[in-house]
Amino acid sequence: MTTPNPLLHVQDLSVVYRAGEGAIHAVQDVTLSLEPGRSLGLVGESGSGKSTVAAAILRLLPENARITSGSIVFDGTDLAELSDRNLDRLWRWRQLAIVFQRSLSALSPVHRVGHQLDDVLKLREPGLTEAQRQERIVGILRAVRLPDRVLRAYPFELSGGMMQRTMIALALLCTPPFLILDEATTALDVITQAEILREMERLRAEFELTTLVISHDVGVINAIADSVAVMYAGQLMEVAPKERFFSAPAHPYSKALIASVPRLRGQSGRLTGIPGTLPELHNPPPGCRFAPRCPHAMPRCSAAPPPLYQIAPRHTVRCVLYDQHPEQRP
Amino acid sequence: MSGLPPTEPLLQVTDLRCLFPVRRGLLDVLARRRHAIHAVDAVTFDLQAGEVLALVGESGCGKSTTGRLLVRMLKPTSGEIRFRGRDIANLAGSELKAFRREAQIIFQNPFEVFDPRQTIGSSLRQALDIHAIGTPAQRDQRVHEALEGAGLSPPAAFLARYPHELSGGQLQRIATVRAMLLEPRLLVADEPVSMLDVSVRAEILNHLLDLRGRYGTAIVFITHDIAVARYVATRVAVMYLGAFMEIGTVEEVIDRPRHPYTRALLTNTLSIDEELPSGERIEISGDPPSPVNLGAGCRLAGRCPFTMDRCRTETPRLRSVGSGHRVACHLVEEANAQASPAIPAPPQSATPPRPSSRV
Repeated sequence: MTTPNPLLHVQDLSVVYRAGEGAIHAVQDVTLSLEPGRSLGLVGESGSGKSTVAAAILRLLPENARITSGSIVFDGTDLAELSDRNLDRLWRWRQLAIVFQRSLSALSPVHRVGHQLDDVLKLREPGLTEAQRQERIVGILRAVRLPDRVLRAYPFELSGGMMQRTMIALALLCTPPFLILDEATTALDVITQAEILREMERLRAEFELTTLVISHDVGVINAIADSVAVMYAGQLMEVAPKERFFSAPAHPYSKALIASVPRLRGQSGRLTGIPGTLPELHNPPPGCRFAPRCPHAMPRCSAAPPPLYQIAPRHTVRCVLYDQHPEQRP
Repeated sequence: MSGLPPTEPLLQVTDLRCLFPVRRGLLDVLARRRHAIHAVDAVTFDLQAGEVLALVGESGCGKSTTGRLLVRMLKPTSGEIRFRGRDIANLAGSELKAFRREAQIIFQNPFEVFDPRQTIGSSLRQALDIHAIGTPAQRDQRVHEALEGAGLSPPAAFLARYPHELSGGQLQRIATVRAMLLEPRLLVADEPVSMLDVSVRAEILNHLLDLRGRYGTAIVFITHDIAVARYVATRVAVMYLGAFMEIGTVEEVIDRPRHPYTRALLTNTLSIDEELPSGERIEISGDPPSPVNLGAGCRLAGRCPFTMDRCRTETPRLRSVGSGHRVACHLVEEANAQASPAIPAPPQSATPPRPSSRV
């Protein structure tokens, strides 16, 4: 790749879920790279495997899931090779943290928010004194613009927006350099969502964060990412700088996805959508998984997964339509 | 529709209110206090045959409650809903059944509305059976044609299947087919595409619009997504805490919004369109207040950046700012009065006292 020193580099990652007697091939050969300070938006519809990628990076996959191939190199260390104990003691939350969508279920309903933040910090940084912990917690709450009274509140007393800010505070407690937002603003109303994403932009600068933003909503991706990666049915279809992705998407799926989004301003023609349904992932098509729904599909699409073609700086596409650029292959 | 003179609206909603009592604690009982959630408050509008009116707003704004009142799944606390000239509050027996045939509703999650033990074919047939439409053979024929018309072909492949065997998008299309089998004059669609993937939404929305074109059905489309409203609707009403803040055509409300709340919603909605100049964004801070026991004054007064003294004491009423475009905002009203001095502003009748919180 053209990126010399990525903070995170995921190479050929595949994840399989055991389900009954079969297996679900949820993620296949995904390669992603993220330089320090950048924000990558990982977009896809349900079943695309985007949340599985996040869970694999943090090694939070459920029992029945297995990383079958690939590496996850973070700051020079392959996380996929680490023991659970080492990952937990040195990396998870201290170096990499995550904010999920359903955050209310992450906190205990019978303890005050302040106590829970303190407990978590005690566990993650046992060396701190009580005064140091208190100082850290108050500082983080201020950073995410929450009033001090949140400390004495129970989770159910907080609005959706405040709850999500609390979860961001929880993720930032040990000031990790890398943060994953997995549909972190999805359940919020539009005004709250916009507010939280603006806060995230500010926090990114303040904490020098590198972020991976996972969403089904291209509007969210447009608001917070520098570059966009598109997944469909477990395969990574395209990676491009944001402006280029929205002005000149290359993959037929990316094009169809953008053409499905109703517009808020300007002219809007009839939406087209994408006919057909997601392929069965326990028996996925052997080649390009979008081929059964693709208007440009040809016989060779179903033969083998197409390679990634580089069609411009930082712009790669997994589609044989771009085979005219063999000299630019990465 | 053919039987209606074009001037008579299909639906006339006047001063519609729906209050939900809140459970009282011991202290409330002793003090003889009663609390109520003002889910829908003084909502007034007309709907013409074939129109698509979008009700937009954030969660808890009363848009779904309004939808349920329109098809009489709920009864209003006060106010009137006239459907083809008749108040639906007093319908009973065969008249109510006839109304139910003419006013249908579809919901966000199609998996919750189909009986999981019933095949799609039998669920669809049931709608026609209940209303005894045609002979049994004709009913089967009709179900067949409707599925085919919705692009669900071959129909035989769907008739024998159970809801869990279908995708969300397919089942929502079947829910739409079922609602439209009876060729209703009114369809309430409550967030019908919210849980579907964006690539599947277009098919459902286009299907709804096609059906409206074919049968002249009026649609009340409930959504939190303004871009979706812009795509499907002819008119838009923006709700906040149970009340209409602004209503007008799509071009008026979405392309030239007047109410600060509408402007806040629009300028904060994330999109892939060109970015707005940052000065245009209206910031509304905090969360909506509780809809329990709302006092006098504008509901938005605590959050609106343009709040004046008057906003805290006097509830703004929906006033016309142009043909059919109505806005409930003192600021807009005053700006309008100044902009056209030739037309004197309507006399300021004191706002009638709001109904107290008695249920």
